[in-house]
Amino acid sequence: MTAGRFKSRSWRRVKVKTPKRLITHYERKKPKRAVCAICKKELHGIPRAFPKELQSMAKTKKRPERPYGGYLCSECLRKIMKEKARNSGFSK
Amino acid sequence: MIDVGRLCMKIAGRDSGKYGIIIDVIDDKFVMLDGQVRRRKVNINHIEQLPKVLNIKKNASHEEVLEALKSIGIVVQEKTGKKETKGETKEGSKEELKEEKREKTKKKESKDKKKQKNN
Repeated sequence: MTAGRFKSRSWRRVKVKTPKRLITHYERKKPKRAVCAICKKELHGIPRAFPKELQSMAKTKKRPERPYGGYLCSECLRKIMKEKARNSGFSK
Repeated sequence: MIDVGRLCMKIAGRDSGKYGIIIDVIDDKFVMLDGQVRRRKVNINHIEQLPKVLNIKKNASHEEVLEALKSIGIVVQEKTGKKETKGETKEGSKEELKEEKREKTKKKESKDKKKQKNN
């Protein structure tokens, strides 16, 4: 019999082969993939790990080393920076 | 459009959003950039060129570029030598930690000996 809390679908079921029989283990689901705030495209270079694992990771391993890294994709960043350049005082 | 002395903004990578001046045109794809950005070869697809052209020689030094940028009101913050001070403090703390560990191990050993005697 499963424990009551494992009947909830917020737990992932993993089948594990043992020498005697097939048993199911219950694991937490992984967090969702990081997406760009503008175009909702999947972001590269961001680990899909539990918060506890993220704690022990270096800052440079958690997001790209550029402005808005880990928040915007590189294409959207370029668009923003182009606008910024064209709206700056040096564009006249 | 691409010529020496043109003001640009970098739009890709770590230096994106920072201003620089073209010092040299390498070929139809790459230019040398200096200013707020680190002095380096840059793909022209990674910069947004602005209409302003500053009076600068080809392969001008970093100081000359900084002066030219200052004349139009762009200030470049130079890096401060923080790293040296940090290293010193870290080394000191490491030694201290080592000493603490040694003392702790000594205490443990003495405790163990006492226990053995009691037994």
